[in-house]
Amino acid sequence: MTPALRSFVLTSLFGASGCAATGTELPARDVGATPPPAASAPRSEELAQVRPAPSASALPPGWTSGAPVGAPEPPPSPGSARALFEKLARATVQRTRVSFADLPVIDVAPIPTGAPANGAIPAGEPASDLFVAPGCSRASVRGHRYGKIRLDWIERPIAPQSGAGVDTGHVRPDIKQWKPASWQTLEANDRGALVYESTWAWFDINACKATVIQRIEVTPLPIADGLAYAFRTRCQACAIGKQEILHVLTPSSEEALAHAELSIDAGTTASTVVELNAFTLERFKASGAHPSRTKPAVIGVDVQRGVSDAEPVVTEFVADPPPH
Amino acid sequence: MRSFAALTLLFTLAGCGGAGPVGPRPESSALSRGHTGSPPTNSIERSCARRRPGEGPARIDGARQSSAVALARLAGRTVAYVADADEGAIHTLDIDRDVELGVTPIEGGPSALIVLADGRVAVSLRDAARVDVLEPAPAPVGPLERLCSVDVPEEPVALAASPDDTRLVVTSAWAGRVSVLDARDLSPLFAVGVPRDPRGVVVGADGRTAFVAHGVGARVSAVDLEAPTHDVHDIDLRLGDREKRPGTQGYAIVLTTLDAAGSPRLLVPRTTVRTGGTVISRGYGSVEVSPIEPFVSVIDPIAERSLGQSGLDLERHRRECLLPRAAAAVGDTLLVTCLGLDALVELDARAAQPAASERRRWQVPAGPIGLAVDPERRIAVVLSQFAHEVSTIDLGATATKADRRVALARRDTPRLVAEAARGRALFHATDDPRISRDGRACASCHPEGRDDALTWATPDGPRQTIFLAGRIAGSAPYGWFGAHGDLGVHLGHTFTRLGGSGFAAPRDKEDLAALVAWLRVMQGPARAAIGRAPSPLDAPADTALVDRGRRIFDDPSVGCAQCHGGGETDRERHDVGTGQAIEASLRFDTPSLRFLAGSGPYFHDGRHATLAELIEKGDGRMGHTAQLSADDRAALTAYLETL
Repeated sequence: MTPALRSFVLTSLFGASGCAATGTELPARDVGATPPPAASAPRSEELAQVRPAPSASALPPGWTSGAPVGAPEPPPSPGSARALFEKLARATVQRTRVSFADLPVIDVAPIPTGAPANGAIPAGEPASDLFVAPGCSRASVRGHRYGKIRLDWIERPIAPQSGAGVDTGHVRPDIKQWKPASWQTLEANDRGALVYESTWAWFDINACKATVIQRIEVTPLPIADGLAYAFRTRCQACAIGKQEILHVLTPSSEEALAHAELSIDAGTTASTVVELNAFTLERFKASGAHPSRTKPAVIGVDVQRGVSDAEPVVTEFVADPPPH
Repeated sequence: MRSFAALTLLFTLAGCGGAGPVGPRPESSALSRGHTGSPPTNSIERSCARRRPGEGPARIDGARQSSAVALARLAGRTVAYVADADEGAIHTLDIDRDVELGVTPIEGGPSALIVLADGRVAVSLRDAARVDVLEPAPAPVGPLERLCSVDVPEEPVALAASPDDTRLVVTSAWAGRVSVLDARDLSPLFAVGVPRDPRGVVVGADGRTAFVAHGVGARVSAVDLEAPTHDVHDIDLRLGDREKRPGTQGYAIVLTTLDAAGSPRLLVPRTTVRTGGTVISRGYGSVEVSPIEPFVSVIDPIAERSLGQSGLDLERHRRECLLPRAAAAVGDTLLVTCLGLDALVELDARAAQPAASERRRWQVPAGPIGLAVDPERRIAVVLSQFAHEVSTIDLGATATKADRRVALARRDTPRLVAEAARGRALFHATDDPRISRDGRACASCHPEGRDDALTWATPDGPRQTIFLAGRIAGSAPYGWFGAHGDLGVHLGHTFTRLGGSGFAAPRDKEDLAALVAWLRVMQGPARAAIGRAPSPLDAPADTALVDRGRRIFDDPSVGCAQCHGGGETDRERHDVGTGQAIEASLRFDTPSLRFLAGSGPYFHDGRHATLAELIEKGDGRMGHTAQLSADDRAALTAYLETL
């Protein structure tokens, strides 16, 4: 038994019987000890279970010292109710701050909300990269291998083994001539950096051609161990809540490329969580990316911005998915 | 090193010197000035001033909020003061050595304490409606000595010091008031009324605003400390722009900055609630979706608004923090103690929803209600009320349970008998499948045995949560229909509706008896202000108006006292015309009116938000009030508020 342990035990056993034990044993333990910080306080696993009681003389009449504490009680049983067994304790996550200053930023104009009138010609260049199959049955994007295309309300992946673009049947025929269309891609450039391209256009269901309204290209910042990519946009003419947006691009099992838009306007919070399975991560390689892990993962990106904050607080995490 | 050893010797030997009695009562002038609100005088200041300036433990830098635990530093060592409401005492502990140094018995249940800038200890005495300021012992083994006291509105539960340490802010839960005292001499400066059940309080960095959490109502009150009118701004924490999902359990509020550049935040751990609306449901709220979920409101203290969190929908897990009680924050780290879970959880305050971003969790002894953090030493000290222990957690270590624990001294005859103590722990047990299917505890809807101010969808129709504390004994039968003469049977009925398996098994009988025992002894608010000399901090009281209201209440033509004689219950069922087609029965059990002021909304279905509205619109249903003048109705309301 170490002197310190002996001191504690003696104090525990005899401390209440008089001052001598407390007065002599406790200082003896501490004399010569390095003054704590708490982290260096002299203790061990053994000592942790044995606590000296206060001297009886330090207590008012009618009071009894607390008994030495034993081992902590085990956590309560979850019980037999199936409902509780079916639920999982929340997994812990360790967030990492994303450097806001490192996020590339581009200025954009508002995306139009109202479709041009039938017969009108929207201003813009022809969408030369949009390929429409003969008979106007399908639309896809030339020369891209990873991304997604959307026509009106239907979205399809651009990825190996994922079909040939989006069917146009759901928009033809329609009384409205112009339908919104967009396509986004995320692919490595010659230097290996992933480049994001986004095109927003009006699709003429009669001519089966699209007119580009907005096109952006940016090299987003890899975050979350390279499983997500982020950039931000500024849009002074946009409505409040959409003036500053953090864009988070991640692989997706359904649409190949998931694109979350998190408002970073003052006075907001926003969050996105994506679960990636092994297939999704493997398919992501088509973009030219080299995913840091092949095992399934959950990634999350959160934003907080107070009204007076100079810049948003952006955090991300990567964690193992909960067991199913 | 020599000085450290000498100090250790001093700590220990001083304990043998004999603990003196509690310090003398303050000079009467101190109290009288508290009552009159007259300007500070030198004699008063002396009475509350330190007797041994510079001696004894000193405050840890930056600690300006109360809890049931407060830390101080003495010659490099960490000392903890612990408010022991159960035994009516303040314990002094040497945290570095995990040893209790002394006990200071104190009248009135000490609920929270704070170390002031000069080392004095201010403690809120919940049952006595008083704040005491105590002189620390030069060697902490000695008892604290009372320097001065001030009467404050009923149920003072939390304290906060202003950044310049000149003012002490006090929240009074039952009275619904925030009082501001001069920290030097405890002289009352002013008080304002705030919505129901104010709890934790913190003063903003600029000292201009006190932010107050509320146990019910999903709100934070921002009290202007500077403007002469001391306006109160309500910060709505209900979730969703359209849904306006309410919440409860807002006991704690902390102020932190997320990074060196700033980003100040107020954080309020609480729960969000889906009550199920005004329909008939299969359970209380619903059994299909989680009616109660953990939540942390993130508030911008500069803009005094909640940062939008409407888009989040937490997935229900097991072993969640459904009864948050105490909190502390350091930078982006939010620490919360959770009753039921019996854990200290560390959350990431940078997340859009910190409740869904848990970093770590430590198991602590049962009933963690107090928390203090020493940022320099990187330790957290937790008071576990039910276990009557204090544990110290090394935040820099990887352990997941509190190994350093100290059992607090007790009275030879504990004030709370063991069976009731066991019942209290069960009352707060979350994730007990006997009680509920979804993890709810009794205390989820009945915080501190009171009510959550909500109306729930139930199998009988919409029902407002009933106030339990201090109302159970002698009030059988139980339930809105008065269907159960036995409290244990009624509990079983309630647990079934919550999806729990109940306590019918032989092995559970002792637990059921304990739960019943706790329900019977559970104390309602101590109405300490009734009968004492009025404090300038109290809401203006008109005793003549109350007397007039009492006469109206007892007037047979009004008809209150026939069923609610003395504010109690006749223990009968009546069809008072309040039932609707949706109800399973039109005859309702007469509820006790005790503590009526703090138990709204009113009627079984919560249709009336206020007592005044109930009296005005309830004519012919319960008594006859249409013939009363506006003054009479005001008098009746004033009387009912005293019950």
